Amino acid sequence: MINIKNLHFGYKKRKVFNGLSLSLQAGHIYGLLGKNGTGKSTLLRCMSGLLFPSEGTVDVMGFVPGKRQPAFLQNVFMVAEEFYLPDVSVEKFVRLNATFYPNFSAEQFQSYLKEFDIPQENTLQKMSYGQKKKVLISFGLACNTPLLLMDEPTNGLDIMSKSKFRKVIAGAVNDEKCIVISTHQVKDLESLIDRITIIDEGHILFDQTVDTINRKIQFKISFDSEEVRDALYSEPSLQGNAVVCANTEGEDTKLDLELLYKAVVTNGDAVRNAFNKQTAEQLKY
Amino acid sequence: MSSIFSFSRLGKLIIKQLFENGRLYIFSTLAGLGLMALFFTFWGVTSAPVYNEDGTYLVIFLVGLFIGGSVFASMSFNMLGSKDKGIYWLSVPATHLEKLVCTIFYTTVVFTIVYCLCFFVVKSIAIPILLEYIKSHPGYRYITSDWKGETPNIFWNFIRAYFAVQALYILGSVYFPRYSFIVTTVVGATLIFTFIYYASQIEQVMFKGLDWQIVSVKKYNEARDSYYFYSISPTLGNTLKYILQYAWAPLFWVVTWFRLKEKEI
Repeated sequence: MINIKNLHFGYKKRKVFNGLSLSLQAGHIYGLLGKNGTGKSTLLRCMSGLLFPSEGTVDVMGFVPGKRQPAFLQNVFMVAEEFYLPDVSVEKFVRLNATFYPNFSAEQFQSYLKEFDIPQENTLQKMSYGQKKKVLISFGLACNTPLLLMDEPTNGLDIMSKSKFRKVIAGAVNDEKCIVISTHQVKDLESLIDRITIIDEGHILFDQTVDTINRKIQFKISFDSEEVRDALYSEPSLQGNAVVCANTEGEDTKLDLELLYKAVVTNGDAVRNAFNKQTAEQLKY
Repeated sequence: MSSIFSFSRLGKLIIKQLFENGRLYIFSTLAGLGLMALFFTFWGVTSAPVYNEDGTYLVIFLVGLFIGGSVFASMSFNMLGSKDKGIYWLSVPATHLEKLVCTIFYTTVVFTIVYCLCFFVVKSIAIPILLEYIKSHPGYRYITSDWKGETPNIFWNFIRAYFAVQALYILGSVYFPRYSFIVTTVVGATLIFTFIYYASQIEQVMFKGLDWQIVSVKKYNEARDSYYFYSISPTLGNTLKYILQYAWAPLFWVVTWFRLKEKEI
């Protein structure tokens, strides 16, 4: 669905991507993680046609996003971190904008609004930031575009809304849809994302499915000093030492995205070796 | 639907823009009516005892049209100056051409019509009041416009210039998302004065002592007490004059279209 090859992009004073390549498929929810300023939002904007690569190619469903053709734009919806909604009622907003998206479903939109408990008496500008965001998320999902890009979608949402967001997104994904979520709030989306992509210094630092991660990596609390010393990453926690280590015994542990991210960023080579070593051993047997 | 231009999509864009900016357009129209009333009042106070209708057309109408039209045009694409509004606008599934035509529709067509309506509404109220006032003031008189002679020529030349100037400010609103009106005015004035300066330098070198028009040159032959007359063909001359009069607005619109396609957020 999305093929990015040798992407180079920079702002006036700073290079962001140096030959980044990435391939995303339909039927998955991708989590895009990275440090501040590492290019997550920039990547989403390159995919949606808001920014043009200086080198390399970005192919989204066979379109060049930078041309911003209507046939492309009606198949992509972006929920940006900084978004704007006009000062009209929800009903008018839908009447004016849904007409541009041929797959828009009014019933789905109403069900999402009900799920998020959004009052429709006020105009959009009179709503709080969180309410506006929920309206935008509901509209984006109801457009049923094959590609849905979300930049920090849970920012500004209350605890209940985050839970409803997870429920709604999980219900929305299907084999023809690709959802890409850029986020720092890894705890909010741990149970939702099925593929993790970590960007750093203009390159893909880590790109694996959650299934593969769970098979290759363990996340646990340890009191064994030797285990802590040999771990891919460890940090003290209230219950002991939280460690990330290679899953040599095939144990099933709960994915901790925050720990995984820290492990990849601080000890990336060792994490990659853990994945490659196990693949080599499996091949050997 | 066409990937280049669709009237159906254009219609949807026009309706969308109307409802999203309806309050702005209504308040702007009311403000326009108020300002027009103010200008007519000022004209009524300062033009006594002879009120010339030409003053309303050539001064109030044209000056207001130029200034109001330029300010309004400089706000055409100000949404591209902020990330959130720019993303919202660029992400709408329509071509750049459709978005540009929609903007030109409101900025040039609708604005001009509404402005004219405001002018004639206020004038239709102000002039009868003025005529009543003149009746009770001997020596005061009202001279209606004589649409013969040079007045219509001057008026329509200014109208043609207005569309060109407005198109320039639309282009400026894409190039300069912030302080667009001021920057476009400065850049436009700089370009015009630079052109005038270099044209005068060229005239000093090439046409010194000669009597020239845009498409012809006359040189006095003292020996024969007659003139040499050099001119490009009438067809070419008329074509050039037509282009100079009418081509500026379409040229600026085309450049605006290309600039919109290159716009990044």
